[in-house]
Amino acid sequence: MHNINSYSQRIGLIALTLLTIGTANAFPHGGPAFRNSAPHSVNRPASFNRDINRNVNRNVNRNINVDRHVDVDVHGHGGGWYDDDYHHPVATAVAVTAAVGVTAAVVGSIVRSIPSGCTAVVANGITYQQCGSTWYQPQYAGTTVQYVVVNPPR
Amino acid sequence: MQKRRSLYAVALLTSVLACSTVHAQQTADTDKQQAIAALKNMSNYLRTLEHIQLTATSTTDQVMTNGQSIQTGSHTQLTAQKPNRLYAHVTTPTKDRELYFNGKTVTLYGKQTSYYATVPAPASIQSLITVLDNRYGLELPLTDLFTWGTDKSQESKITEATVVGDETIGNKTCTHYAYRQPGIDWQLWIEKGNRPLPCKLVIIGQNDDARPQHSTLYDWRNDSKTADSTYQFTPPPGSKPIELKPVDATQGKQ
Repeated sequence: MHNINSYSQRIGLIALTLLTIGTANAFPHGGPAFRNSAPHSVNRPASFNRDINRNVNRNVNRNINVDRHVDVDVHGHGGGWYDDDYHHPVATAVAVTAAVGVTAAVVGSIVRSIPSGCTAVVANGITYQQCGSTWYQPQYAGTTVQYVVVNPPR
Repeated sequence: MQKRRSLYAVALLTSVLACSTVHAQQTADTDKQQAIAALKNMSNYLRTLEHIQLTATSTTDQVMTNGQSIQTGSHTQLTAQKPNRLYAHVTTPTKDRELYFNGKTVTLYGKQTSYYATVPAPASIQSLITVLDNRYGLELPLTDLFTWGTDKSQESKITEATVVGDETIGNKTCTHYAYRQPGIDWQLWIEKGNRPLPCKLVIIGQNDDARPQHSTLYDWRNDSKTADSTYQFTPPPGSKPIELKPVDATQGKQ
């Protein structure tokens, strides 16, 4: 019992270090997050106000196996077409390292990227990505692909 | 004698000032009427078009939490046909997305993702705009081209409008207008002549101190009919179907 705890802690520390490095390299200014986008239409300026759940749903998932960027970030209403993703650094270094980790991600959590080396599986007409012991279901939220952690299909 | 003369001078000055103020107001009113009329004229013209084909180059400000705006460039290719055909292709440095509407279904495809999502679609572009927006939180690219002159237009919300002047954009002469309404300041350049099409549109958001801007230059092609195959999506080899997530109504509240 005690051994497993310190192993997890060590992995966690390595992941945290890589997480920091990953962020610093991915965005030159150290990774300020997105806050607002310009309205994209005259006749629907409400899109500006209706951006959904931008940075509210932060990293509630403490597990190391998951890209810590877990907000839904639909952008909504046209923002998804014209926005760039530079402000969501893809911390694949962390994810790959953590893929060998002990714990599985919490079902229902949502991530913006998955590690490389996952396998696409189509089961019962639904597309999944299998990454080690974690199963993701990709989906479009607006024009952005996100991955929901799901139970393995039967 | 002197007192009467200076009183007379003051009265004259006041009436001159009053006249020029009234005149300035009348000019402003005329400008506003002209700007509104030009918008109506352009909108009516857009609604008469059976087919459209154009490309658009845009820049969009994204504001970071530190208040800094970063601009993203994008390119849009759009072709559409009344009442129920539309194809849009939008590319940014990191995203390549296509939308196919063939009158029965609408498909979103992301080239580098190799995922596509197909959902049933209503029978007209106008209904499609509503469904995409309400159900999926998706705005149609270049949506104003389809909503100007319809009941989705928010022209009645315009509080201020004026004419700025003529300007050459590309190889066209366009008249520049500026408008204000709750939430946005916007500027529109309309082509002069018998094809009053938008040349350029600039929208500035009032709801962030950084005043983020979205700017679009339109390049109108000939509006002849496009082959129907343009609107049909065929999954490229290796691409996979995924869900287009409906917007969660509870998350929409802020």
